Amino acid sequence: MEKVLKVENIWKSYGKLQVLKGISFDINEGETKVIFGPSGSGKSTLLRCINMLDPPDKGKVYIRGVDITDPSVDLNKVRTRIGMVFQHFNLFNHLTALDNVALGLRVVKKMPKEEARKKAMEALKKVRMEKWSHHYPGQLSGGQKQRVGIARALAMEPDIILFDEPTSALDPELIGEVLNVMLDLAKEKTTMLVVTHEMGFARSVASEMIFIDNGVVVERGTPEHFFTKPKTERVRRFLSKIGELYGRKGKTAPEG
Amino acid sequence: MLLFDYFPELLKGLATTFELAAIGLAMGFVLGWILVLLRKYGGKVLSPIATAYVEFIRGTPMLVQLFIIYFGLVEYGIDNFTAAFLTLGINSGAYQSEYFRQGIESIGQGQIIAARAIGMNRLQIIRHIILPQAIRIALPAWSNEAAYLPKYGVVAFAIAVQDILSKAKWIVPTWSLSPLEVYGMVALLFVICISAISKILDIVYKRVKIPGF
Amino acid sequence: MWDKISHYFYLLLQATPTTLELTIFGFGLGAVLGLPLAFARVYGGKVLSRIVDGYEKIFRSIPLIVLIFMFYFALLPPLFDDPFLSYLSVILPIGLTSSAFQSQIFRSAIEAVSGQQMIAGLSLGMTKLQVMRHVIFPQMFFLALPGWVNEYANQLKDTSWAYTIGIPELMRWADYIRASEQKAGMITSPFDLVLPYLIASIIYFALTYPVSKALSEWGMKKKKLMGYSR
Repeated sequence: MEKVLKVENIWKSYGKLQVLKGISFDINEGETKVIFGPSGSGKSTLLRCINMLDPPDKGKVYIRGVDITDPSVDLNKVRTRIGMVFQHFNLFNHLTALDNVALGLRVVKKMPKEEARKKAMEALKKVRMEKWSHHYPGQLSGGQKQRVGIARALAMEPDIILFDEPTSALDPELIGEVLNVMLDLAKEKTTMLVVTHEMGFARSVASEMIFIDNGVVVERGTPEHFFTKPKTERVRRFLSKIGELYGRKGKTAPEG
Repeated sequence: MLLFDYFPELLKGLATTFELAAIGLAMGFVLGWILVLLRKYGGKVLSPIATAYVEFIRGTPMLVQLFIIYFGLVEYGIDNFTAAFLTLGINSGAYQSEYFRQGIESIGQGQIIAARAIGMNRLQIIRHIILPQAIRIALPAWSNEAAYLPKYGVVAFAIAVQDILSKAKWIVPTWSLSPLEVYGMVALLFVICISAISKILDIVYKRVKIPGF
Repeated sequence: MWDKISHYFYLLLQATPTTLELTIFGFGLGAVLGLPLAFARVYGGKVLSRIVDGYEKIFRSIPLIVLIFMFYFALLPPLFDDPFLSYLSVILPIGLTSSAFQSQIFRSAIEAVSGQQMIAGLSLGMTKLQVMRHVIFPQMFFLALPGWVNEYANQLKDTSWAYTIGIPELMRWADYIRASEQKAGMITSPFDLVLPYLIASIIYFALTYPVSKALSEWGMKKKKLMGYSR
């Protein structure tokens, strides 16, 4: 069966700095994969390469077998099939939660207003934000904003959703509500690629974890593998540092 | 009372001043948007030209600009009223473009990336994300420009447009009045009118601003 | 034609010191008045705040030329003769108007300096006045710099109004050159009419733009250094 996402030998540099040096991996339908590693290792850049917001210098990206790095591809159309959730939410400040979610449906997918709003409401229900549909981003907490951000990506019915450190900018007590939504999505077999430090989340739902440092994939394997016998010293060091922060077994998403 | 003799004349002049300001503001609005869009999306040639225009207009006195326009076009039959509102328009456009630009630039890159990530193209982003926010963010600064433009509009006096200042100058000897009284009245009228306009625009802003900010 | 241009430049540059004089005195007066007004507004309590607010509103709304006429034709003649009469009739109105704008600029800069700074200073045992002088003012200075420099440029441009009462500054000279060329029958095209004003505008631009740009960039750098972004 065709992979939802296939990333082949991605290279990317900014000026003299080589940020990504030959990254390859793939994701199957319904899988959740987690990318983790030290800051500055190129993880965010990688996500931006995947949806071609910042095209790679070398390498290819395939969505369901279609090479989207090919210059003849209509990128705007492709992007409707790749959802993205951002560290700093990036909600449209002048629109209500409902309109934030509906905008892409109306303007890009050309849905009529009523239908778009209906779909948007469904997405908001999924992230448990339907009661706040008429609030503006300026009136919402970080966790609420991020859930709206997830709803916005969901509503477009993408083949895969990319998460760029979705909880890094949140106050600790707000992380749980977002992680819970993400856990639900993973359990429903949404195809997800998540860049995060939340090891508890990774342990629960990741089919594979990929450690990236200095622009290369240093090690990859199941969560089980990483938490019992990681191969490389670098990974071990990184995990122990995270262990210090979050406690030995890594953070598990709290209930509710 | 003597006040009621000359007051109507003064008001006629005030009306002219406001008329000039209104036309100038409207012209400036259109020009201002053209200038910002050129600056942001005009490419290597148009963008610096737009920037140079804005900086030059903001760096030179309106009086000088007025004389350049008036004397430059007088041979072609321009009348002083037209020269006046053209100057106001050209001048206000440069200032308004700055307010619009600040409005646009305060919309973080993040929202634009998010819009691209759901597949919106540049035109859609300008129309649905940038413009609606930029206008509301720029409103306070723009309201300032709108309210104070009549004050700057008195430049027209220098080329003998029958605005409030010309009228005042004529009233003093005609009715043998003290200059202090007449110019004081002019000052008072400006303070009242500008305060009123500011207040109204303030109320509009409160209604229209993005909630949560 | 180039002779004409350089000749006009030569003449107009002679007028420039007058323009600068008017600006410096007027703007300086504005700063001397505006700074205490700003502090009064922020730290002075409700009543004082309202009074300053009223003052600001009044002097920001009155066109400069109206004030100039009030001083020149009514307020100053009993006290002064020319040349003081005309110079003061420009410098005083500019001072008053500018003080209203500068008060606003300083006020928002003071308010932007974190309130925590005042608390920190007081907790060390300093008096309010000491905190204002040693902690608030230095930071406020850099925050205010871009707006303040902009205001300086505005007042410099406004000195062009002095031409209405005969002071020999840039605008008056440009006008005079144009008028005498007309009288001498030397005007052949609209360009000739406009040329003196064009050159004057170039001089005005040279007086405002470089200073504005340089100082506001310096101010922004310092702003960042002090931890205030944007």
